[in-house]
Amino acid sequence: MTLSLSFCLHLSAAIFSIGVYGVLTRSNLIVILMSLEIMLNAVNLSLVAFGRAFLTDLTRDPSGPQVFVIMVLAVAAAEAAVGLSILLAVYRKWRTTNAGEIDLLKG
Amino acid sequence: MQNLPAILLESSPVSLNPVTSTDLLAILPVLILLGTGAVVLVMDLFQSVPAGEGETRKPVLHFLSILGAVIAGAQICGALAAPDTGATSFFRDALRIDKFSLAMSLLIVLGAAFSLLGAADTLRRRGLEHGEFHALILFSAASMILFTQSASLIMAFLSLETLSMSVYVLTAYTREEKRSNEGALKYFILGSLSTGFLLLGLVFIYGATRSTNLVEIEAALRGGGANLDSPLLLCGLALTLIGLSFKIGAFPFHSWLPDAYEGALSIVTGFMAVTVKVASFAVLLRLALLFGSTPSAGTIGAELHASLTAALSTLAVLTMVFGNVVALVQRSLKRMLAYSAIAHTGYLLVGVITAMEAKRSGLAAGTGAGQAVLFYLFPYALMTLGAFTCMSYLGRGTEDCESLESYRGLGRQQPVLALGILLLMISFAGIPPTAGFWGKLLIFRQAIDTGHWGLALTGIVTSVVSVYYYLSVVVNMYMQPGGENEPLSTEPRTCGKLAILLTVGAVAIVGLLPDTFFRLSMAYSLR
Amino acid sequence: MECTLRPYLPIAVYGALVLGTGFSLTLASSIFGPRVRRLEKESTYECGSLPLGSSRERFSVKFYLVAILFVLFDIETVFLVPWAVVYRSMGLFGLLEMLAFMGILLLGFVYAWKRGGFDWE
Repeated sequence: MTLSLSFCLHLSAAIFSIGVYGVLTRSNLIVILMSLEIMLNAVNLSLVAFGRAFLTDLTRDPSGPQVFVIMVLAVAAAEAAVGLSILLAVYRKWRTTNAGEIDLLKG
Repeated sequence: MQNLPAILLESSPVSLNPVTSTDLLAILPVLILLGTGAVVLVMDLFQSVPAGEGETRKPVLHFLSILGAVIAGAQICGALAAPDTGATSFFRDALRIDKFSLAMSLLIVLGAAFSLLGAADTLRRRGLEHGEFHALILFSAASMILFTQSASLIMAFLSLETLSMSVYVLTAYTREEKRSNEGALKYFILGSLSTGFLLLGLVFIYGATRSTNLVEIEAALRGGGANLDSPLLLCGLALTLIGLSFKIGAFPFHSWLPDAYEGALSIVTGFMAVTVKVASFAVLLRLALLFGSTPSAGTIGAELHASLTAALSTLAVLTMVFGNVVALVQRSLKRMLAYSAIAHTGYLLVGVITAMEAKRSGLAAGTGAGQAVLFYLFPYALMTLGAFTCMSYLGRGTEDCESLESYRGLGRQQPVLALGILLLMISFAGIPPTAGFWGKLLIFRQAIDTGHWGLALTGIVTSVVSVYYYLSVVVNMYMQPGGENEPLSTEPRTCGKLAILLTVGAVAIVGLLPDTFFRLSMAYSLR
Repeated sequence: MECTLRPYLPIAVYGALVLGTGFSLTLASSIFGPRVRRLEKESTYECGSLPLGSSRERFSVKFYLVAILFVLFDIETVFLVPWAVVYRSMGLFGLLEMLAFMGILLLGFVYAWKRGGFDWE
């Protein structure tokens, strides 16, 4: 029972594109944050796929993609925290989480 | 499970690679910066604020953090002055330290030190003297150094994220201001989007070359072996380039930059304009030379070179034209400098392209590529730091004066500050014999030498256009004030005077002694 | 296409079973179950006590702060678990590394505490 690498990569690219689409088109900041997380997790999926595909390559250290995944998870959490904090600061001053209404800077 | 190699099924002993003292010694500047940041942060928690106006209320905070940055800078200077032994790897090839990365690290630490020096007055004026500011500057400087020295894709991603997140928070530092919040929000969303692209790109490069290590990737490229998946590699490279273009603010990916620059404190704007650009260009140059100039078996090398040159040239032309044209119509000085920062990114991209060509056509023994980028970045960093430090004095209380008209009469009100701005603007515009002129001259010379006539021509024409908006600042400063609108400004104190004097002085010295600095940038170029 | 999708057959069968069971049970209870229409029966079930108001209300900003801190201190397990798996073979070096990591985390904890991150009011 095999699952080819390109299947996983296509799935990962599709999920990544959903995330990008969400960031670019949605106006609710919370949803934008969620879309950013989707992007990072889509990348994790392709890392897992690569890790599985390269397991048989004994010339390489198999821990590479696993370490990468753990680091991406940690970074995603930190990013969520920073994003939520900035969002809180924005909400306190602007009283809105709609990206379209936050438009003081222009030019 | 049946096709898993045996090595994973039996509990194999973990290969122990303890951190050695050589490793720790190599990143001593980073450790100093991180340690100082942590100390400053914790110290501020337990410090009671003496009430009352007058002198700086937390002098120890400023002193300690500047001291940390200076010691780290001295450490890097020492390493730079030591005889060149080539690139050395540390931490199981996670970091690779050579003269080029040390020179870039020095620029970053300089940026941090000058920003801390200039920040004392602004922070006091706004009542924002908190340890977080100093800690964030020091932390982000430390992660930028790691970014320029990273030799592994994982390390590059981690350090880029750490530096980005510190800078997002710094942008939002004046959290009581709507504009600061908005700038930080836009910076965060587009910055995270770009790191997402970059991450996917790095993972694809890993998938195509089967290694996260830049040295092994180079070996895989040279071999051009069967393992190399060229569509995946091209895809990964394109995504990585998009991610880095966001960070440096190249044209189609620039939209966060003016807002973030305008929203942040002037000092923070200067800091991030310099250090984020230096760190990102260091890595961009390294990656461009790795993928665009490595001779390889098979066609992959030529293919990569052609596509990278095409992509970077397009970005460079668009960025130069867009940045300069839009800067022409800006009414706010900070926004104008933001668009001019985009324009300078375009010139630097030309430098990256010429470095790629030079490396590909073979380097003479003892020389390197990318000296034009280094030679340009050094005075550019100082000019930007100086300009934004000067700008941080144009305001009173929590109010800033931003539109170009509001500077009328500054020449009479604050002659020294106005003179500093005058010198920096002339240097920005690239009027001979200033530091900005020599940097542009070298980049355009190299572009012509490597046959990129179009790039050189675009660069020269757009630099001529840029003279208009830089000089309009000067004209406004020395014009009579219209009616009762005196410019809002505060007198720089000792620290601020020192920061302005040092940056302007250094820019003048580079302008008068270009030969010395050219030789230095040759010596520190990328092998 | 037929042979590449074949590995997914068990998933398809499983999905069909799940959907089928769910639908048939709901259908069965709606056909054979007794119907009692009373106010108490129609109201929201909240552990037996009466609901105090609409559940569609906004959360206080304070919850977000707790969520941020939780996410930050929660993610450390991602590093702790792989370490715990191999800590015997890592020896003293592994212990020191983890102590350094925990020390940095503790610094963040002290910071959050002193800055009032854990104060509810």
